[in-house]
Amino acid sequence: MRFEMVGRTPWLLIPVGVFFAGQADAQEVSVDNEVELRAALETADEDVQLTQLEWNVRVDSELSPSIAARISGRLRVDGSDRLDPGKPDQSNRSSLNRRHLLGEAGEIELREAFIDLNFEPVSIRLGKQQIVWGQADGLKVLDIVNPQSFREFILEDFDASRIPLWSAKAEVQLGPVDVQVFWIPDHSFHDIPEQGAAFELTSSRFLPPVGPDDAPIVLDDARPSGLKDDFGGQLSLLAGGWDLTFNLLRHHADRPVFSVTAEGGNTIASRVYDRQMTLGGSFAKALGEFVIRGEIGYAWGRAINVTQAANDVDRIVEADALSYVVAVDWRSSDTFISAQFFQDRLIDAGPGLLRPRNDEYATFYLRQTLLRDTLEVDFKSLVNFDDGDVLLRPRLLYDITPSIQLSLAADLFFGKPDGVFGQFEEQSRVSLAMIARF
Amino acid sequence: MPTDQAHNRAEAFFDMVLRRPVVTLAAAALFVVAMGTQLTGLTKDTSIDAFLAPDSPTRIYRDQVREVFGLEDAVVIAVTGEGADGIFTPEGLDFVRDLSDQVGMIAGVDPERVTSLSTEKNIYANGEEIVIERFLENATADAASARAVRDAVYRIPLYQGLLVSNDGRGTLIAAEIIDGDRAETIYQEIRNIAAVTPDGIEVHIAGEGAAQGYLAAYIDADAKVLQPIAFLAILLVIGVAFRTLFAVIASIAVIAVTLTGALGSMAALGIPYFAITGALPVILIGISIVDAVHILSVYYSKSARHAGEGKRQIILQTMVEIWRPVFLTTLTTIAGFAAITATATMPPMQYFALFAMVGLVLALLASLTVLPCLLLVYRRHDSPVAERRAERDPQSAGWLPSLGHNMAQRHIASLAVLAVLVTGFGLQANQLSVDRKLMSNFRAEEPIRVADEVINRGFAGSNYIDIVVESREPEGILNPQSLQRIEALQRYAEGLPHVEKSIAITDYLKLMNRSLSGDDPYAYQLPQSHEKAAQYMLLYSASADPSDFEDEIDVEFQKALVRVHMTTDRFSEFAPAVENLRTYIAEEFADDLNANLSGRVTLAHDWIAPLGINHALSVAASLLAVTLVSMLVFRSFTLGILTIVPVALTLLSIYGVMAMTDIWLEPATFMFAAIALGLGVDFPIHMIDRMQYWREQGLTFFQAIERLYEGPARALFINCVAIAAGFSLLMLSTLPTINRFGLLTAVALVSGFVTSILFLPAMVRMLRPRRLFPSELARPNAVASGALSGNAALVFAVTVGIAAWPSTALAQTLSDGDTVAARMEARAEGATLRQTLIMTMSNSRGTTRTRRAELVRLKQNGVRRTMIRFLAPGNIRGTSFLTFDYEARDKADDQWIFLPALRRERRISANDRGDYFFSTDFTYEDIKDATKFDPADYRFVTLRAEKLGQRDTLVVSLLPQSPEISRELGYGRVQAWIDPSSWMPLRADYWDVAGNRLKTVRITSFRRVSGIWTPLRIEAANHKTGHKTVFSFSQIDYSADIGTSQLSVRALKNAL
Repeated sequence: MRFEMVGRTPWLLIPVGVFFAGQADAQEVSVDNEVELRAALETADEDVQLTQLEWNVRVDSELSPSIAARISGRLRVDGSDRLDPGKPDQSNRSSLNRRHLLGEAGEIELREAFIDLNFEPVSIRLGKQQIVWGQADGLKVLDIVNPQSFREFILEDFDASRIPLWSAKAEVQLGPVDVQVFWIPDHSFHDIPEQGAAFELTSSRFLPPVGPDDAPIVLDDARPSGLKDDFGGQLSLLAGGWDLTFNLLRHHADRPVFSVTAEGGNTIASRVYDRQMTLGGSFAKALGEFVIRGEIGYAWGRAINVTQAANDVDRIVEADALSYVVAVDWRSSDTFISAQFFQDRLIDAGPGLLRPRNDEYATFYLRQTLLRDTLEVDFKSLVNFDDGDVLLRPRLLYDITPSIQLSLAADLFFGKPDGVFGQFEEQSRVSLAMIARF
Repeated sequence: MPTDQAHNRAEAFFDMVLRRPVVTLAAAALFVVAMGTQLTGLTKDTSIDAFLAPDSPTRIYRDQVREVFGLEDAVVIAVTGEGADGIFTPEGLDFVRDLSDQVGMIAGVDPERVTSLSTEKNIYANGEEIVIERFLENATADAASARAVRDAVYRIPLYQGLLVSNDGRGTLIAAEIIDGDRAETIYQEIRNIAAVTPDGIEVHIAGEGAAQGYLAAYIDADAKVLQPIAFLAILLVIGVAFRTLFAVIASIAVIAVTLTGALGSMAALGIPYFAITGALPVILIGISIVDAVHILSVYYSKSARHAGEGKRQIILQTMVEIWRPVFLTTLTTIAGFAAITATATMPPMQYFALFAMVGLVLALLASLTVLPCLLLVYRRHDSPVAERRAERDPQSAGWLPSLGHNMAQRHIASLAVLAVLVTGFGLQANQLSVDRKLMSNFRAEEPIRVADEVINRGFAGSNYIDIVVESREPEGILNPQSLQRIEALQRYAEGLPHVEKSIAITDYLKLMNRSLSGDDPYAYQLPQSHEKAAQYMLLYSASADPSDFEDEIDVEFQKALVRVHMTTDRFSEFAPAVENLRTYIAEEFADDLNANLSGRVTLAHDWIAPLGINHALSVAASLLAVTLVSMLVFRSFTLGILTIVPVALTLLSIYGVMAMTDIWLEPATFMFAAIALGLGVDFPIHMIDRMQYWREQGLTFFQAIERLYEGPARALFINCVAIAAGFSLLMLSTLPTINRFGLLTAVALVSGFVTSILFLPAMVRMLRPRRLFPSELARPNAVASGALSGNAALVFAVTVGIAAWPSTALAQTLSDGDTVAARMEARAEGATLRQTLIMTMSNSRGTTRTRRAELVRLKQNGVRRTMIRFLAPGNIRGTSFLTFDYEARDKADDQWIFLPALRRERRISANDRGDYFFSTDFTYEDIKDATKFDPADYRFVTLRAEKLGQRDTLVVSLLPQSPEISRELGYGRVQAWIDPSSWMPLRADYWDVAGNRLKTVRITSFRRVSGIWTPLRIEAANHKTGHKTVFSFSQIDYSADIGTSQLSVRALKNAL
């Protein structure tokens, strides 16, 4: 019953948002609405991929000088219903963190609901929130505290695709060091598109391993049991102009691996959210006109799928994994250029891997603002070296007024059908969106 | 059909050529020998004068100055000593005297005009008498007398920095060169003489005369190394590409005709070999083989596919098929160079382009006649590469054809990617600046560059502006008013950036006045009457050599020369001085006294200043010429435009790269654009011509594309590699400017090739020109979009030209600038501050946007922490900016920005303090400095007191402390009206680095809040863009309880 209440809260937010939009006093309560209308057309077959209305409402309130709260929700209605066809089962999410489905084409979700308690030098944030780590853009090494929705693969902004979790976070300043610790009892994982979705993962690196006998695999929908809470901490400091963090996270991996077993003549693949420990750190430093930044993470005993393992019954082996990103940025008043290199290496993994032993990506990002910040031209490209795949994302963003924005963008995938980007070559698209904020 | 007629005529022509191959070859050999003999007559002219047309006013005036004052370029020798006495020891001074004597004896040096401690004279009083004698009359007996010499020299202010160093340890010997052609030899001879020095004595040789000599030696050394290497590298590429000996022999033949023809005709016409001509042979070697590669490529391919046919027939077919694109590309390249010849004002550049054109015509002729004849007389042979390609299954076409196919197939996506990339780089292009530094022609470790640094550091500088002041009447200079105005001019000049010292007759008159007043230090001033001045001159001529003053004043006392010494030879640094002096003399010397600028620096200024506009013109003219020629030859407007688009886009990107990597536009880089354009346009022309040919043969568009990528694309690739290799070899040159020229041209060529290969088919498919898609009408918008790129290049180029000239402050030195600086700096700003800030930004059309932000500031423990958090409107809400500004000068600021879409902070560089803050008209520095001007950044000079509205203000000129700071801030100078009661700058006018009026900032409302003077409304009007920004402050609270945790990265992230 209680869950029902929580689930329905966003409904209430919409009229509240509209009502307060013009009236809220910024000092105490501020209400922000963002409405986006977006249509996307696939370039290969000119099919409509998306015709979506998205309404985000956010209410911030300063209850007292040391107590503040935020509640935000999102309504989505997608006429095409190709990204989340039908009614997703949401078994990846904890019962407290599920979206409320409005028929097949709509959904409503409580995005954030937290209270901030600031008592110098300690601050505490309790409730549904996002905890963001790391220095990389569009690539994840340390930004793994919250799971993510892959509804549009990685095309959505991380802020929108990250799945906020019910958690408790405390931060304290100890001399030059900021200490952060948190506890996450919310056992939710990545939203992975189901079969038939436009961005269904079809590359073999994401799928359950197929045996040599090619026996049909039945996917077990049941939510894994025995899940434990995540917890972690971060130390951050500014030393000699270097922004440094040291991070430690005990958690379940958000992307499932598949335990493949034979049961009564069937081959069953069940999801496993591997429990692991990740230790890492990040840095950033301005050097003249450039900024260098990076992050590194080491995970012990990461579970990975293999085609066939010698002493193994479920096609899962464990290996340590080291991943890192290094990046360099250059910026002027109107221009931002950034290049990143990412590597995820499996240490001591045996044969039969479904993914490359060293998975490597490079990204390039160029953003140019024009006409006094009213027009933004940006271009992102991601390259995966193992598959030789490419994702190119040119975009134009124009402020018609300070509150209305127009976006014209293309997301173009190139590569092999089994590649990380090539699997979506048919999903390459151009999209047009209008965003209103009030 | 006209095509058939042309075909038949071409066949008839080549048939005729091939009928008498031996005659053609003999004629070519004779030509090579005849032109080769001319090469011995080639002369060199490495002087800077060469860059100004002989009839340019600056050069004419300078020649007159030379005549009147007898000034020639000098070799400057700095002699420095290590010990406490420096060179003022018996050994040191004897060495200086011997060195001066020996230098005077070198042929080509004017012995009368060697200036050193041993030639210059001491002037002092002996009772009523004035005594004038050489400092080093005799050998120096002991340490005491050496020190006495030092004391005597340093007693005379005008010698400091000129004759002796500022630190008391060194001296200069200047030797004027009367025979410029011997500059190189003279430099070497001085080096030999100065090779052996007494212990602890060092000798450095610099000066314009030395630089010329050095440059000449450099060019010789370069030519000896570069040309053979370029030659071998290009032959190597060809050898590898075709794997036949013949291809190498044929290339040598074509290169021989081209090189000897172009350079031989230069020699025959008496055109000297200028500094930049050094690049010409390498360029000629590169471009001469382009046509040969295409011809050989088609020939070998035909020969491999039609093994049964006769050699003569294959050659004939080859020539008939290929002559047209070969001819067209030569024509367009010539058009590019012709445009340089027509628009360049500097003779070396005009000649460079002219003889490149001669080379191009010869290369074309040699390729169309000598090459087929050579093929005919040489034994029948095949290229193993072509054979392998012929044997290959056409279905298994390589990656190149499938790439071409794919790019054309996905033409919209391809062009979108291209558009975004070009826009990104192209937008950087307007940052491109024109600059030059003579010494950057030499590598950092070269002795001459080291010497130049020594002289500019320890002395008054080896670069100078000469100002000739002329009176209407004879003896007019000796009027007290004239002398005072000359002195004022000197003081003004000395206040300009990088000016170390000035010297004029006034300095000598003051010295004599002092000497005749019993060496009273207070008498170091100008004589008060004409008579007195005239007497001094007479007295001097009675006691010493009257010609001693010929450098400073003419014999009729009607013209005086003020020599202004500068410590920089960099254009952007000396240009403000030249321009300010011109403005000053135009205002102050427009009556019975007039003045003109001359001298080395002025000369350099006047030929570099128009470089930007010349460059814009030459690129625009080349673009236009090449486009027109292409339109004519293809008889299609759209195809004409298409040929130029890839290379124009590439150029725009290269300009962007230049701006981003701080490569200046200078004489050497000046020409890369037009050359790259002329050569780079070959790629699209060949591609379009072939597409047209195959479309006429009935192939579909995509079949034509595949054929294109099977054959001609490969030939283009070989050409691109060969020429780019040739240009890359310029990076081996010992001249850094030639290195940059080589690099830029090579990069431009390769990117032109890549752009054409990757994107031209997509463009063709998009625009569907009628000649390639005969069934359709070409879409009109095709033309418009193509023309737009050309315009963009032109507009940008003109902008660069206009935006390039710096001119900074005119600052009258009054006394209390430092006080103003200190008072302003000391103005209270409160330890903490919280305020609301409304930013209203409007553009020239009156469209207004408003943003609301909260500003929180805390000054604690030597750190000023400021956070600005945007509250409205929605598209920026939540964006926050945090800066830590450290009091410690050597510690760079730390800055972060929080972007809600990322939900994390992003570290940003604090180097860009001159960048505009969130599209307002305030820079990051303006925001940070909070209506103060940092004395570490600016030199304050109070100009006058002035009423601003009802308020009394001090008008203060603020000059950035260094060019680096000026560039960082984005301001060349600032003039501020400061209210002396609050020490608030009520108005500040800003000029950009190029000297253009930039913006005016006014504090239109301010009051005391909690005892602290606080602005309530600040208005900034940008004069360049017409934009205006108003900052209004409210809810100002200086007592807010703010701790460091509220101004931390954590707070930045957690803010709601």
